[in-house]
Amino acid sequence: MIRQIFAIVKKEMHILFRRKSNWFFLIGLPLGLTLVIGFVFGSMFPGEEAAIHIDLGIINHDTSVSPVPEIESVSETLIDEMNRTEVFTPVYLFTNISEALQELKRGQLDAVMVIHQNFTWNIVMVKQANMTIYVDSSTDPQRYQVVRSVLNTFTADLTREITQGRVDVVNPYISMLSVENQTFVIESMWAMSEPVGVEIIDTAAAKFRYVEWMLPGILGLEAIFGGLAFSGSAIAYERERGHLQRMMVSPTSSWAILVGEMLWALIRVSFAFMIVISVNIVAFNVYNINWAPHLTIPIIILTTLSASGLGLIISVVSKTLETANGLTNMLTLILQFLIGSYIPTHMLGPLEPVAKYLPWSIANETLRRVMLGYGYYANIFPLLAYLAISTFAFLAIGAYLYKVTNKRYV
Amino acid sequence: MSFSFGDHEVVDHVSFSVDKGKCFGLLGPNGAGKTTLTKLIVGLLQPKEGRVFINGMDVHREPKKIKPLIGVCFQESVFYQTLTGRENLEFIAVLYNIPRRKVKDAVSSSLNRVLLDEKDATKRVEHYSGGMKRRLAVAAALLNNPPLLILDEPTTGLDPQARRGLWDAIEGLKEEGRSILLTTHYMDEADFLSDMVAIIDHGKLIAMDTPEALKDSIGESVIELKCDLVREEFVENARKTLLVSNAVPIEGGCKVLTKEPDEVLPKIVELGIKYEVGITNVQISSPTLEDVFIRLTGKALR
Repeated sequence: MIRQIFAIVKKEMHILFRRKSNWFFLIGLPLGLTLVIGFVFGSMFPGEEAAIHIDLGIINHDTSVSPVPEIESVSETLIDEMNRTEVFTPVYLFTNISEALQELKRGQLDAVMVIHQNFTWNIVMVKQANMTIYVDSSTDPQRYQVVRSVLNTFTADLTREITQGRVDVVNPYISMLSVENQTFVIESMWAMSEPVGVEIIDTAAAKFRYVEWMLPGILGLEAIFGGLAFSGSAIAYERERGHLQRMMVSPTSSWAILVGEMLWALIRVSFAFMIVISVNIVAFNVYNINWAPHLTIPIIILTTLSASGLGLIISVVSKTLETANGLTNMLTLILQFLIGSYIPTHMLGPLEPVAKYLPWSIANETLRRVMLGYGYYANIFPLLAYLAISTFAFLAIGAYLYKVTNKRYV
Repeated sequence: MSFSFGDHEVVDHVSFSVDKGKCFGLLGPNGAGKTTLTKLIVGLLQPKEGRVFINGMDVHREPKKIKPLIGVCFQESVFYQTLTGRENLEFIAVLYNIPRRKVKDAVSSSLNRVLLDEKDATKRVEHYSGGMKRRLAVAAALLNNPPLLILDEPTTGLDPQARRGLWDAIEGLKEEGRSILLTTHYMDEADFLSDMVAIIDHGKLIAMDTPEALKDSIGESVIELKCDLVREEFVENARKTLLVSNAVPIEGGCKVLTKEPDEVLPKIVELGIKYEVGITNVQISSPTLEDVFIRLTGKALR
């Protein structure tokens, strides 16, 4: 019995090494997934060595002069200090609040800090100085949480520093008191102190829940899964089962066969979209979405077609259906982490430069801008053009390879 | 016409013509190049050398005109398993641009010709027997009512009864006046159905004539021995026996070709006793196409 068991293992090993498509699952998939997940989650939870970077715009209305000659402008010092940290370097200085808020809305800035008038005077004169911080939760809820958390920590540290400074200034006077009274006065000062009043304002027109932020990503994901998987196997399946041969001897044009297969991929994906949207509305009560069909439908069609184009390339270059399926499975498993569906591309660490130029990352971003209502035609159309060009490129390469290879395997 | 896969010459300067309304049998063992030849004829492959003409038109230059004239039955039964026989045929009818209003009739007519009834046609192909699938494949080739039918090994894998049924169907198609190009490795099939037979081996055409003329060309009789054990030494010595032109092992015995069967038979039986092959049956017969193949190639069909 042992002999038979080992014979079966040996047979499977031979099959494994002789079918190259199996290598994807043996080597490619664990390697690819480990690298991608490592990069993705390594960047999300970076530990001590990696720094979070926040693009901060600052508008400094403080023109006051310190009454104490030894103390320079506190707001200027604050900006200099922020510029020295890895978190905020470089800060972007604005003079116009509406211009800064527009950049925030477009996702170019993570936050806008307004330092109010008399900031320096108030700090030095032991009064409350004020600042307002604008953030926008609609562009990227995850990023928004990180930015808020960092800014809260920053303002808490700032408050503690200034309070400590004030305590140091009055300390000589306090030392004249009895020891018991000294402790009482210092503790009371700490308790009462709020040297900087910070107001954080979320400028999002509508508050989005994570499930709403995710919906465009899921649609993008569905376009990839559907387009890539259906087209990836379609031609390979028809060829392997001999159906392509049957079609090629008929008067039907080979292009009609190709377009028919692609159209079916599009129909299947559209059906999947309807299910995704319906479930989100019924089960998750997603309503706060700008559907804008004149934009979302072309984006979705282009996304599906670009994935179908890649699928077509895989389908025609793979000699067997098994190879085609292996390749599409591996690609979909890896791409799902790279296209910003679950995790924004800017959190992908070393993979970000690759991820952000993938047409499906662009598609996700475009869909989000439209569906979450923070997109303008000016910042949607360049992305749409990029998506259209890459879709055309994938389809053109796929069609060329189809033409070249469709006689090779019949 | 010639064609090669890399350095391997699969079709080597083969030339023949199929007369209108006749059945032309392309006979050869598995791997002889028959299927490649049919792919060249229907335009799926481009010949390295030579051209194919159908009704005076070059297949590779005028595919749009040629394709509607050909019906092809592939070696493998190529159907969508989860569709019914009728659904498969309706799909193929659309591929052949058969007008929508005529599809139903075209499908019914094709099914009738291969003796598949409407009840069979409504079953999913995955539930068909091997014989039914082959019939459906021939029906698919008939959908566009083509003057030329190309049947690639139409009865491979069928039991004798199913084969016979399909032969009858093909006979019916011949009677309709269609030209048929039939590839097969069954000698009896080629003999029964073909008006002309071309024998092909290793991509080369080695003989071409009517089945009768090919058999007559041997001018020898065949001694067929059934043995318990086919020993190589026995076959070798039988081949060297005086007046024997060739001897080859076949399944469960040996075939000996000779012009003098009465003189040769006792010597062969003697050899059988010497080599203890256990002869169980002896038959002297006229040559078949298989014997022609043995005579020409020195070996039995692979």
